[in-house]
Order: sequence, then C-alpha cells, then structure tokens
Amino acid sequence: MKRRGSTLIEVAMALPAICMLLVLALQTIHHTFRSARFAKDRDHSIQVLSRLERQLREDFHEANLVQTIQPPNPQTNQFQLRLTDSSSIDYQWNNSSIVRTKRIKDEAIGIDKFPLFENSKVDFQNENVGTKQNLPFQRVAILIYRATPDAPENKRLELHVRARIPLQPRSFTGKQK
Amino acid sequence: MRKALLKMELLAATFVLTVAIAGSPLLFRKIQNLRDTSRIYQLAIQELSNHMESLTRMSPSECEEALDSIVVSSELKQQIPESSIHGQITQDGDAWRILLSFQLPVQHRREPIELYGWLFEGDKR
Repeated sequence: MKRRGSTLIEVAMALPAICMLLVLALQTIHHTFRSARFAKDRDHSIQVLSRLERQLREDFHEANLVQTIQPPNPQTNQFQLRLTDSSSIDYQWNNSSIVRTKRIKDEAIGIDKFPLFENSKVDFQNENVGTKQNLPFQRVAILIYRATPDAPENKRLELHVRARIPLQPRSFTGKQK
Repeated sequence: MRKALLKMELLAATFVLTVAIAGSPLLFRKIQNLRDTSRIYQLAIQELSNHMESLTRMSPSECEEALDSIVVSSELKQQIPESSIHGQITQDGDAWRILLSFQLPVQHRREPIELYGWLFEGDKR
C-alpha cells in the first residue's frame, strides 16, 4: 500500500532545514533593504559633493584676484576667500555640513548649505608656497573624509579639491576643456 | 483541488531557494566592488582636475617643467597606493594641448583615465 504521509523523522529533518533557509532568506532581504537605503543616501551625498566641488573650484578661480586668504579659525572651522576689497566668500563647516556665505560689504547676500555624509571630517590646508617668477601664491586644499565600518577613523577620502591661488592677476592664463 | 505539495515540488523549491541564497553574497560583493571602483574613479577625476587647474595657469615652458615632476598627491596615494600620474604637452595649432593620464590599480580599471586641457598663449582674462 502506498504511504500517504511523512514519518516523524522526515518531518524532524525537514523542519530545521526549512527554518535555516528561512533565516538566511530573511537576513538576505534585510541586507538588501539596508544596502538600498545606503545606496540612496550615498547617491544623494555624491550629488552634494559634486556640487560642492564645482562651487569650490569656481570660488578658488574667482579668488585669483584676491589679496589674501585668511587662515582658518580653529574654533569656528571657517576660512574666507577675499574676492575684492568689499566682497568675500566664507566657508564654515562642522561634521555634518558645509555652509557657504557670500558677503558684500559684510552683508550676507547668499547662503548655501552642503549637507555631508554622517561622521564626516573636513580638513582644510592653506600654505604660502612663496613666489614663482615674482608672483606670490598660496596653495589651498579641502579634503573631506568619512568614517565607515572598514575605515572607522575618518580614513575614507571622499573629496579633495586643491588649487593654487596667485595673489595678483596673471598676464598669461589658459583655458581648460 | 490539491491540498498538499509533492515531495518533488518541495525539493525543487528548496533547491531554488538555496541557490538564490548562496548567490546573494557574490552579488553583494560585486556591488561593493562597483561602489569602491566608482569612488576611486571619482577621486582620480578630482586629482586630474586639481593638476589641470594648476597647469592651465602656467606658461607652456613652466607647464613642461611641472609635467616632468608630476606626482599623485600624498592624500590620494594613501587611498590608492598603486596609482600613478603622467602628463605630456604638445603644440596643437596655435595652442598647446596638455594630456594627463591617471593609472588606477588593475583590479579597478586597466586603461588609464585621461584628461585633456589646452593652453592659449596671450589669452588674457
């Protein structure tokens, strides 16, 4: 006669296997959702960083005619690009955002905020490089690091913009395509 | 209407689920690699742009000197140890053409990333 059911041993063998597969499947689904959320946040942050990069390059370029760049204030995490005697651009930052403020005669005429990754660290470098062919210039750099599980101490570089700013206009300039 | 599953159906379903679960770590690893590669590509483009910004402010002779000693910045070298950068300048009509190539580690990209820039002598801002 043909058997119509399963023995207790068969059921006892099948149940743990099914449970294990279910747990693995749930873990995979959870991981997928977490990755999707992470990818979405990262995509947004990358767009913000691209915008910040373009803005910094543009500002550094305009600062070609400035007299000086004031050194960053360690308390406020800020530096200033002087464009002319009456206009300037301030950059202020903390671990979560960078704020750019354009000022004319000390009056803020435009404020732009760039939210960063969580646990970001902004590193600003500014050094007087001296003169080259009688032209004094400064070298400035903005670096943004991010802490991640594989690099927990803000070791993951996400953005680096460097520029050389002559302290007076040059007669020879080039174009970049 | 049937109220139960055949053992064969159950086995087939279990097999499909097992294969799907076994394949998922590979996919996650692949996604992670793609993310890393895209981040490194982005950093390489930024490095090339930084160099190009400086080079296009120089005269052709200064630029040629600078290209002879061009190196990857120390910050980027820490992130991508096996990277290297090369550059060359050639006359292109009445302008000068600068070519910068950034070589990434082979596991990320075999071909170098290239960025072109032009110098126009006598162009005044």
